Amino acid sequence: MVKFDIEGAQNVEVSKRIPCEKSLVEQLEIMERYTETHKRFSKESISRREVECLKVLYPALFRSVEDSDLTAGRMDFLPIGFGCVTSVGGVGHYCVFGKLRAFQRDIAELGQEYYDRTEALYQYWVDHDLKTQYCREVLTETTIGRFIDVEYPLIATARLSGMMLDYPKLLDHGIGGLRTIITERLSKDEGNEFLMASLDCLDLFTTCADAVREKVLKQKEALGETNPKRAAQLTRMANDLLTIRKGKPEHFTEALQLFWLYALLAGVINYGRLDDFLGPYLAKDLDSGVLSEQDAYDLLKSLWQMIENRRTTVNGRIIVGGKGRKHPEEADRFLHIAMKVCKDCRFVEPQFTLRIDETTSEETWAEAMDALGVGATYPTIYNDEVNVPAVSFGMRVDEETAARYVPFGCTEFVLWGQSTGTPNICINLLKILNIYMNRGVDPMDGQYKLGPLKAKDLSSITSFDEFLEGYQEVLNYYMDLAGEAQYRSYEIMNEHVSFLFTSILMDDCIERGKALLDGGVRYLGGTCETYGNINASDSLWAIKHLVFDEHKYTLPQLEEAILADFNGYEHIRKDCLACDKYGNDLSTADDMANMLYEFVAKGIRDRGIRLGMQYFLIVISNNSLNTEWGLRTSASADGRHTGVYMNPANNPQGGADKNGPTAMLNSLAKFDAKYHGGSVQNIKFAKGMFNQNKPLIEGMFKTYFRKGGCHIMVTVVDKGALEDAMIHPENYPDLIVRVAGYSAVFVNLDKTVQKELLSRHLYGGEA
Amino acid sequence: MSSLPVFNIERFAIHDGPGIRTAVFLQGCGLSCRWCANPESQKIGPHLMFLSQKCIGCGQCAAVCPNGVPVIKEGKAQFDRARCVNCGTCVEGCLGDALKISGKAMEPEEIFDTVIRDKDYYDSSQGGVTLSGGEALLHINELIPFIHLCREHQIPIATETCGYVSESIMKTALDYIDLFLFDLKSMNPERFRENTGGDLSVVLRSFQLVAEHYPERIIVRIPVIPEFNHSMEDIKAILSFACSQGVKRADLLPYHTLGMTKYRQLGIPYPYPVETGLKEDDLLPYLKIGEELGMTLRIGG
Repeated sequence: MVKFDIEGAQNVEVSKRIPCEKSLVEQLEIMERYTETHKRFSKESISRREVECLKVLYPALFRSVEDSDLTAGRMDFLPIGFGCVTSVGGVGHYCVFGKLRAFQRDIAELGQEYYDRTEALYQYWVDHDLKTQYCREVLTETTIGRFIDVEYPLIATARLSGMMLDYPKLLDHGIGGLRTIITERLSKDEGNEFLMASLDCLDLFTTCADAVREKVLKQKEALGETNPKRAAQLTRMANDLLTIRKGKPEHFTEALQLFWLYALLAGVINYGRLDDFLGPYLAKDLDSGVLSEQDAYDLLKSLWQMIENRRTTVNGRIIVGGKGRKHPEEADRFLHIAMKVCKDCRFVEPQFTLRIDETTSEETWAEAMDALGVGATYPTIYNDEVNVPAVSFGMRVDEETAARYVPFGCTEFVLWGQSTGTPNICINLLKILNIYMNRGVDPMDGQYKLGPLKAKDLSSITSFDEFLEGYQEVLNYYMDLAGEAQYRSYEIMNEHVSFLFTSILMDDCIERGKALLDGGVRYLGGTCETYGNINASDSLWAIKHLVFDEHKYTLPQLEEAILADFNGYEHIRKDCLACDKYGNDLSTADDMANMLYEFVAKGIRDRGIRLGMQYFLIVISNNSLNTEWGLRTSASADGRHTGVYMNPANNPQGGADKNGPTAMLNSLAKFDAKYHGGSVQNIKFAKGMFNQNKPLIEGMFKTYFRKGGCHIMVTVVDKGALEDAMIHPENYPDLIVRVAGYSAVFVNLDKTVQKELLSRHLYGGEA
Repeated sequence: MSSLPVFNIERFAIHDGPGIRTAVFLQGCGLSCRWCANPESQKIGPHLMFLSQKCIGCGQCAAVCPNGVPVIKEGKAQFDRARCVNCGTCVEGCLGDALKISGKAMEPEEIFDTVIRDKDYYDSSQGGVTLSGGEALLHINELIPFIHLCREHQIPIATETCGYVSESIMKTALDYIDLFLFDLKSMNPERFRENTGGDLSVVLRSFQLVAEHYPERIIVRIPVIPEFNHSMEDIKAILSFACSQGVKRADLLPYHTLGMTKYRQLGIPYPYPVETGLKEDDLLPYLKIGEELGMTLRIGG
């Protein structure tokens, strides 16, 4: 059996957590009850066991209401518990061993007894943590590593990221209405454990609503007569909870409360098209005078705050705008208020997402540009004119269904209420290229990482096509591994859990009487994150150009230089760097990038379909894994040194694009979006540059979108960032500033000009 | 077809005329303004530019140079410019990316291949191409094939000109240029000659020639230079002249020193004694002149 570190970090935690409200002993007792319940129900159905375990966690884990909360419901999570994703707790019945060890160290100070009790939990979960069971089965010594072990070319995990639930169904029926639907369904399928457990979940919801209401009333009681305004808010919140414990919401605050509490219990961390879901309630209350614009603003701001406080790092998606909304007018009223909140809050989360199309109003564009101009980094903008038809092809659904696409996490698309899309595989295309070129051995650690494949001898290769075929053969092998590991993650999760709260609000779980991964979900989809795409394609171009077109070096000569990290071969590195690079609107390097993109995207997609998934699509996403994986990826033929970050998202390698933003956008727009399930395109501007030229920049974005651009993430930074960019240019590969009469990528300018720009900025100039 | 001496093609130029543009910078200029921000543009031909801070002292340039121009002293290359023929051999050898050759003969089609790539951005922003320099109009006859290519694709042509060209050139330009970003630096002939080496009457004749036919095609550009024209009197004189010719639009461009690096790279001293740029705010008092004259006056461009 493969060895792996079960205590290792499971995901990238950027944000600092808010500490648990419970004492250590209380936490331990909950975890013990949870573990005991898990044991006790091990012979029962997985649905029964799940709901019984949930009853241990909830409402126990609800936190007190904060002074600023206008909707109730905050939650803690423990090292042991139940969840969907690593960002809030863990996956299925989980134990996060590293955190449990830390907990053990803390509680040991209270006495050996506590240490031992924690140790007993640890030992139980070594055999029962869902993800560990997945890892034991799927990981290999040299080819498939755990999340996030950057020694491997491919990493795999079991999780259920990015679920976006059918909230309209929840809001239209209320808990009581859902109960009726499930009960009716159960009458035709008596003894269906999944449906029975689902009913228990709804009861649990009611219990939690009551418990949270108690917390609200407690806060009101503590307030006394001191703050009548807050007392009124708390009274309203308590009444809302009373309404939605079983009933349907009538008002905006009730709808918001119902949605929020359900999302917490389901453990989902992306929220979906709230404009369309909540807009009608908002519009009705605004029109009738129940709410003022200011009230609505305050409510959304409080929601923003609560989402921020969950600290789910790269999730928290709220999506507004775009095609396929049922209530566009009402939704737009929500959208406009949300834009203001986004501009004022400038939080990392929620990841506020704007879908645009040809009908998006100038007002909406102006609001978006304003929020971006103050440095909010949101909204991040998705182009429905491209994405809806692309999703229709990629996910094999009609365009009406495709209009349900919503980006979650780092950018992955999912169909709200209808599909799974969790990215359980990440693959490093550059590391694979380097391994292939070094006869199957990873230059980073000397391990042979081609599994059963036979390594190719570079000196025997006589054409670029032959070289490429060899690389593609290795990619095929890894793509096979990717498809199987993704599919197996669903099977293993389904062997242990039903994800009941999620299943209740996903088509067609109730109708079929089946849990999400047990045949319940209408579209079983998945995604595969790819990294180092552009470094790999730029490397391929350099190899083609220098070895096979110009005959300047032989393949072994080039490989010798790369293996030496170009030490003593600086002239070869210079030639590698001088080759055309993606991102400059040059057909040479761009075509190579597109060829590699299509090969991998189609390869992954075809494998997903063969395995029986509705879709399995690559995503080219935006997080820090390109940097971390780069640390353990050897030097490459694009001139990149060992250990250097790899290209971010679908952008060029830092410093490689030298022809300005239109050229970069032209390169970005060349990939056909129908083969991927989300691809992030970054562009950065210095504040003055952006704000002084908003109409032109907005026009540029619109043109880029018309040319086929699927997305843009705009970052507008201030002087501090420019200073930081001089020290850490790798973090700002695409920051655009105005220099005299032209614009340039800041990190490509020489230091003297950078300093000059900074000094100008100091006195309010143009940078 | 004749080639053109290009020293830069700048895409997403948003300060050289309306909309999103591509600026094509050509070498050669009859003036030699002491504050010129593009010293590599003044003479036609390749120029070796050396950025000392990037030099790693590897000595590759010295090893490959056929004329023994570079020598390594104290870990950095030094260049005996008098012997340098700007052949660019050293650029090939340089491992620190410290050397480049500025100035390259390009065919019109080659320039157009780059220009056409942003056609969609021009269309959506009322942008186009700006011929800049140097003094691009010196090459008007060689530019005609390029301009024809642009016209076939409905790409408007602007030029940044100092007006220091012959009458016949300006007459030809009238047929090909849609917008003149016309530099007027001073109305004082002596000071103009002292600081630019040129004859102001030539500039004014060119200006009048365009204004006589197409005053609406001119936007005056005044580089506001300390110790040269940074005064109410000077700016008013220039604007009054423009106004008298029926020109209604002008931009004030604050003096900047971003070109100083280029002088260092060319190994020549910076000729202007003022080493601090102006702020946009410094020019605010001039705006009232525009109001008085009924002109549209902007700071920046």
